[in-house]
Amino acid sequence: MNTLMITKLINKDWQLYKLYIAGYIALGCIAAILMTMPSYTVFYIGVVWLITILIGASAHIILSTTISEIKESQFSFLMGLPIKPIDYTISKLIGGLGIYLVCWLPIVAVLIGLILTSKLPDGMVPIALILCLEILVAAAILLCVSILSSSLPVSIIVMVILNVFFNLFMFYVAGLNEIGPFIEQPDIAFNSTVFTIIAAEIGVIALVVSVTLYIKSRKACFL
Amino acid sequence: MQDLAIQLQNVNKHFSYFDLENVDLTLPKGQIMGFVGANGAGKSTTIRLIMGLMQADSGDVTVLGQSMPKMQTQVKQDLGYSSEEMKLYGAQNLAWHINFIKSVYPSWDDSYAKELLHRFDLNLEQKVKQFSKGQHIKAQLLLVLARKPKLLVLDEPTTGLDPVARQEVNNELALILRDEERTVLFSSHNTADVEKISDQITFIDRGRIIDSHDKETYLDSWRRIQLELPSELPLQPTGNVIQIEQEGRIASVISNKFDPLILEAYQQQNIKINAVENMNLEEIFLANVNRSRIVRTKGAQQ
Repeated sequence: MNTLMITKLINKDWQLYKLYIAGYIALGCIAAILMTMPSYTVFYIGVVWLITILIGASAHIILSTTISEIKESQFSFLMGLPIKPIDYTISKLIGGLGIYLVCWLPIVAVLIGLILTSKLPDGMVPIALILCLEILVAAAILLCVSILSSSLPVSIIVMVILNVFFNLFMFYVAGLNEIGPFIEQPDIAFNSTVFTIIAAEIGVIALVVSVTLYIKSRKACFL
Repeated sequence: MQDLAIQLQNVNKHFSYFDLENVDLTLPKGQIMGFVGANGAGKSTTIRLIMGLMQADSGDVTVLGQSMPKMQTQVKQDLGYSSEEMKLYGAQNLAWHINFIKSVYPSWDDSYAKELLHRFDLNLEQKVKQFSKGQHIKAQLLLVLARKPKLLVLDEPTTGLDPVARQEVNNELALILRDEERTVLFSSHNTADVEKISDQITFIDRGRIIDSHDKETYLDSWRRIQLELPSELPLQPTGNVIQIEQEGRIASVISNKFDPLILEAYQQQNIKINAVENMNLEEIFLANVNRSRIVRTKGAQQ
């Protein structure tokens, strides 16, 4: 593993996308602020906006760093560098997820902070965390599919499926007896169900990343 | 082995609709080799195998004394690669690309980069997406050359350029490559480009290397002889004749190992020699391809 080159490749991607990330963070924070306004309409606009920003940012960063780089032939430029395919894969996995996290973490932190400090019920925190983590899981899956398939149509189909799944997941989680009834409560209710779901989400991220690394590590050549 | 920059031994690579077969290729250090073939002949596949971007099904690929693709990380440290399909990041300028490449290669030579920047007439601050195709190729060459690689692999760098830009890039490339002792593999389907730059020339067609010599050997050995025959009977091959075209009593023959003795042999058969013509590289390439295809067709029929 060529750590030095992996760092340089991640840094290259960071330089390419840092301005967009700043924009997404600003928009995400505005959405979170809207959620604290004393109006249901504005609250729901804020929720939709926030989800859109988190999903949109992941799609932008992931598809640009993986598929567009191949489609626009910058990949040929990178293949000539002193790296192996696995170095490139690791840079895309760490870089893609890392750059997205730079956007995801502040937005989620602001959201949780606002829930705790505003008139919004603190009971929203677990479901907000679970749903934001689900978007992170979807981002990890999309990233791995993009790296493995190198195909824009496949990646877009997976993205659509993940978005549909997110909606189903949101209703499923809100309907759980261990979560739903506590959403509008003034206190946070972290119970075993919440921890299990969060652990499962982190587990899925670890699994898809490991599988991608395993598959790519068996490839000696780029083409 | 140590004096060879590139060595391919009996390399095979199979695809659904194309096979690279039994490729043997050697490029000594300090030489510039033109790698010529029609579109789809196997030039890019061979170059990808040399670069370690692709794994051969069988055979050995050794570059700068190291086995590929196993040692690709180490080899690519000393290897500069540029291809026609390669693109830089459009939203960034040339300075950004220079900083990136400079951070990767400790051998980067700033003063040489400045010289190339001036010679190529490129603007550091201009975004790559605003470059013309010629400028884009020059920028790529700058990024490759200024890190002073031991081996330079250029895969059709001038393909797709208009004649003016092509001549400009070729002139600059010829000047730069003459400047220093470099080992270069330069692929093209344009024989004029290759003739200008190369010491050695290798022809490839339909996945097979069909000929490989130094440029002077090609130009010295190949001749077209225009003949006037005493009758319309078909001319029989004599000596190293690889192609005969005959129409009535007028014949044109091509020899790939020209010897003046062949002229004496014709004269002894009462054949009048109208002209003995030198052949340019394009004519040699085409004759070579035709001969190779005839031999393969005959081989397939047997």
